[in-house]
Amino acid sequence: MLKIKNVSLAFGEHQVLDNLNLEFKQGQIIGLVAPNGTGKSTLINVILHNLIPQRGEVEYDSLTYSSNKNEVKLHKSICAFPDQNDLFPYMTGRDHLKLYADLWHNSSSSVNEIISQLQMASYIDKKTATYSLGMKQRLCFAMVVAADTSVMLLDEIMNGLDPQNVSLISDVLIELKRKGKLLIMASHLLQNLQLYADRVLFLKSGHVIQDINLQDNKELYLKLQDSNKVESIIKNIKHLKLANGLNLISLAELDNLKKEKLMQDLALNLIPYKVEPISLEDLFEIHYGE
Amino acid sequence: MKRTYFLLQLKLFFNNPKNIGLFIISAIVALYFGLVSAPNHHIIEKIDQPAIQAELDDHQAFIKIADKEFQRSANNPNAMPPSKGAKEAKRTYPTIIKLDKLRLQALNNNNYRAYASFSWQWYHYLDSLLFQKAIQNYTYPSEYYSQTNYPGYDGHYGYSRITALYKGLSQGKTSVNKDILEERTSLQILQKSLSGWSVILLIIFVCLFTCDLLTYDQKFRTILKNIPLTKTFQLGTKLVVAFIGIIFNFLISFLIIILCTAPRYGLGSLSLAVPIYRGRPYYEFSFKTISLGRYFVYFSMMALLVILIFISLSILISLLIKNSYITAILTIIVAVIAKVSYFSLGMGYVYPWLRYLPTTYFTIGDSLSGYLSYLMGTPGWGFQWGLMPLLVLLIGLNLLLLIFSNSRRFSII
Repeated sequence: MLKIKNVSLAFGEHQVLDNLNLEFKQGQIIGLVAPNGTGKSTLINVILHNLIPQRGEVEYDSLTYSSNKNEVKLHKSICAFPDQNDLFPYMTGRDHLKLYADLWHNSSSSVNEIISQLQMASYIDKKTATYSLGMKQRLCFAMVVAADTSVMLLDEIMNGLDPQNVSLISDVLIELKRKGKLLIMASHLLQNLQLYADRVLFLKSGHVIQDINLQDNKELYLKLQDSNKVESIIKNIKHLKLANGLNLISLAELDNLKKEKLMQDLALNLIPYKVEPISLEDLFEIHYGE
Repeated sequence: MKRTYFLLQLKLFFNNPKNIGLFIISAIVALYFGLVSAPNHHIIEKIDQPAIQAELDDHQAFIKIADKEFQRSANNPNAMPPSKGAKEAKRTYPTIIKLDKLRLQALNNNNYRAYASFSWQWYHYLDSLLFQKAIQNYTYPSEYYSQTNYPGYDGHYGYSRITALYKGLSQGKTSVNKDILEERTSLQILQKSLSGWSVILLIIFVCLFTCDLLTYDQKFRTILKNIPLTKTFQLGTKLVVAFIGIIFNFLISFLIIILCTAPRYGLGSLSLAVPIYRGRPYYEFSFKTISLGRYFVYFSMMALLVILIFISLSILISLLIKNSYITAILTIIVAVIAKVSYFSLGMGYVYPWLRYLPTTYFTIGDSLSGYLSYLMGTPGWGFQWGLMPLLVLLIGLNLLLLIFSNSRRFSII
């Protein structure tokens, strides 16, 4: 289990993480959601010990970054997604995968499996200087998979990927989760995150403002785009209006009579609506919408 | 895992554009040295048969005049007594004329071993007349007067050196030819040139190779930052990799010099004699000789220490100040500080404790050949003396590296 204990970190006056306490279990995908510059990458860097918090500590399997020796031990269990701009231009993709597999004591045979799984065979033996952004991004992800650590920190892995590749990587993420890995991901692709994340943390002002377990997120909401007609229909019903013009009405909070009346009104006025659990995009709008 | 990191660092070193530039510059410098500089190097004590013949003719002519002076004086008691020059000529010229004749005969027979044997006696005899007896009839070659501030001593140093060289070569087992006697063979060129500013230039290359050993990793920060290896191991690997890269560069440069010079002058032999100054000008023989092979073993030992010192120093500075330019400037200052400060002022005579400073021995060749002893005016600046300060500095630097690499305040990337 990975524990973030009372972690506070500030850059000058700017408090990025404020007394954060979190616990993450193996076999889960954790999403970190927040607008840019609100602490997602900072939290990942604190977990890696690239940034040392002014207060608090990170603990994994009862180990903390209390010594250089422990740091090496922890880095044997924790691997982070590298930046595609940092790839060695004169080395092939296969060299990169072998490098990470070897550095983390994994067999080179796993490299071939990863290449096949991520459909990289056509370019893996070319130098990375010739790769497109999407190819580099896929390689960086493959490197983390090759390291095969029990904790994987993935900061914006879907950036620059086409839908096909997003889907491909999503499948691998689910497979990794099934194998018991703990994956912590910072992502802006909320729809995609919703597909496989078990738990999503919304960060703001150094705090986790919402920690949602998507497995338990079954409560249904009626979702309506804002208009004059909609406004008049729902004016007497408790609802939440988002900055993007979406209105959310919790069905659990309506009695049957009100529900029937509301449906009738919407049908009569030909107003489209959706009934589904609250999405990460909705929550993003709630927390960060202007 | 450790092998993988080592191979990665090796790849990074050899693919670093700055290092590739340094490899190319080294090769160009080596080519220039081998093709232009070494062949045009002026040799003071070169084998010049016409010059020996001319000198012999002069001496024979002068001794005839001296004979006449003595005859005139003997025949007429009222005549002027023989001049001091004539007296000295009568006393000294016969030996010189005899040796000159033998030298010429040896050259006519292409017997360079015999030439070396008669020549060392010639130089030794002439030097004793010049340096110890200060006879005015003779002078050292003009180059000793035009190039240095201490012509008497420099001439004595030069003649004593050539005496030891020729004696060693004439008594050695290796066959001797003109190029060997003039120290033009590849191995002899390397031995002679690896001293003074040449070695400082090589150390500057070491500084430039190593100044970005740590900062270059910044380009690949997120890949290398969190790998599960201790900082001490990573720094140690970088040290070894830089050492291999630098040795490789120097060996290639030396090979280029050998390929440029060997076809023309021959490779030479490791059993050839190398003169080493013993530290006192008034010994009968101020130089002893060791074999070229032994000289290169000593040189290699000191060079390895000096290279490791500068790699360690670069890594240490880079660990504290993550700026390759500052690292390069500071290490180059350390490399040249002795040469531009106390060496140039001749302070060794005044401050003998300078022999305990490692900086004194960075020029290596000067120390091994005894030229440093000559400059400092005392024995004891050679291999045995240089080894300890260099070793102590290297150990000290690596202890500091160990301490700082275990400090959590200093990261590699």
